[in-house]
Amino acid sequence: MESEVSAMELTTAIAHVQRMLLDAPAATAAVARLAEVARELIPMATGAGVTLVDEHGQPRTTAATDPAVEALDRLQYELGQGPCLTAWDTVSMQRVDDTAEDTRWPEWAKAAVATGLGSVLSTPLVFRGQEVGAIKVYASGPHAFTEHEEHLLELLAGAAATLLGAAQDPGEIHRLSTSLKFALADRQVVLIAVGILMERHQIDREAAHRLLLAETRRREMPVIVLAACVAGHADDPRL
Amino acid sequence: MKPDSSAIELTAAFARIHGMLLSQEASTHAVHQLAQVARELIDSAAGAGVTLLEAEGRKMTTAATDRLVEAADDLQYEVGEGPCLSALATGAVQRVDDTAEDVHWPEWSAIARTMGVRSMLSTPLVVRGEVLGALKVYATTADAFTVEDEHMLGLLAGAAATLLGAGQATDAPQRLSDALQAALRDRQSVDMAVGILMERRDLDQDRARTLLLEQSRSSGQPVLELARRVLERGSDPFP
Amino acid sequence: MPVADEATIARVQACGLATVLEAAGVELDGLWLQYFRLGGDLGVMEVEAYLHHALVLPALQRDLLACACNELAEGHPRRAPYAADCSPAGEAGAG
Repeated sequence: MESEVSAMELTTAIAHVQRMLLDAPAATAAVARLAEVARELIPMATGAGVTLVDEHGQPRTTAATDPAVEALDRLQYELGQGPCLTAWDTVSMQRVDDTAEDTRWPEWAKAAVATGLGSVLSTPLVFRGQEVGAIKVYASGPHAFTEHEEHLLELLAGAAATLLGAAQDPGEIHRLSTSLKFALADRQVVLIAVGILMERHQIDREAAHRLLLAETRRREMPVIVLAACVAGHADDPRL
Repeated sequence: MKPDSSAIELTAAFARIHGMLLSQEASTHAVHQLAQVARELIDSAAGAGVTLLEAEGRKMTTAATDRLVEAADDLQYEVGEGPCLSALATGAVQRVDDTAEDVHWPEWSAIARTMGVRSMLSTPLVVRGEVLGALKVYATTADAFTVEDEHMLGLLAGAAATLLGAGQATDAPQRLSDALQAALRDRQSVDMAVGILMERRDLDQDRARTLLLEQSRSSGQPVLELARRVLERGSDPFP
Repeated sequence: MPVADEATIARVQACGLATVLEAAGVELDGLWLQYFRLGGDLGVMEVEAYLHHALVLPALQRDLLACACNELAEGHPRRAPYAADCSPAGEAGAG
């Protein structure tokens, strides 16, 4: 029985890893809990929402503690304006102390007032320099949030981003498996070249590998490129 | 078909490299932030900590907001009892209202009291029925934590567990195991043998591989064994 | 003439490697991946141990790591040294 890592095994292994990561229902559950925590954690908060985005910045997974929050979030995307969008664009915390007097996002603020939400705090979730989403809290009255609440939300966002950011995009799985396959393919080319050199010069594996390395240094080319030439016969430099 | 475990490990290693599974560093950073959130969340908390279990079930306290938390935790492992250990073992919330009067963990409580710890709350981090670790807060006064605090901490623990459980496969080892390295070595042997055959018989890669496969089929010997024989100099298993 | 022993050469190589990794912003995982592509045999933990001087690796593996690093740090003025660069007869690997 062979113990080669075959293409078939790789595919199933990747599927296995995929199950370890956040699938859609798990992602939804995670952000829902996160939103609940945010609402309970931040004093004065009456509602909270979390949005995870895909690589194009489009919302992929969202959760909100109540319909009002959900509606106001959606409205921002429809209007193309709002504190969360600005938080996203500027990668910084945005705070609205009184929706009735805000001039930055006038249309959205009007809707917020009508819905009965007076204060907003919104900050992006950043993982490894990439924005993976945003978290926001609302309060019914104005001037509900201070630096203290900002700090708390920042801490929560930091922890959440780190943990969430790692386990996301289905596209990542594809990129991962592609990367894996390419790495194995590159390695294979190197080893074939090593075999060729072993036979050609009647030397052992280590000597052949060192020869390859020495030649790449001498010719100032990448190892894999030279190995491909050796293994491909075409452009064979006859090392 | 159950995927080959070495293939899973290789994929997991790649996944970690791509930041898809949490590296040790990211995991530590995230739980440190969680501990900070917990301390800020619970007003009467003097300190907070997070313990995550390693795959083999050994403890690994990964974050504490101060040394008192660390000391009180270490103490539990030294004396073999304590609220966090119980939380880990039972998967249920454990609480000490006054170490001066506690009867559940007498040894631990007596010493903890001299350290200055009077109240303690430990909540397990549970995901998919599995205890990942515990989130705990300490206070220097007795009866410091309320039912409300228990609820808040539970909420935070729930979110944290979901996020942690998602981002970190508990059976994904942090390094390439012996089985994986053996699988890579085997693959390597075949690749080098292919190179040798290419050079020896002036074949391209496909033809050389086909030759190995055909010989394997007709002789009943596994490809790997043939490959190893090719690698031993002076030995050619082919007619 | 004194000959530097394997452990010393390994240490020198590891130091040089660590310096270039840091200067070029190459992370351990990225180094390992490239090393793996080049036919390196060892796991991430072994590579990490080597970088921290807790493990002496065979010369070929050390050179593969140096090569991997140099390919990733392309354009960077410093180069990670190979075993041949570290023998007392030759010059210590530099730019």
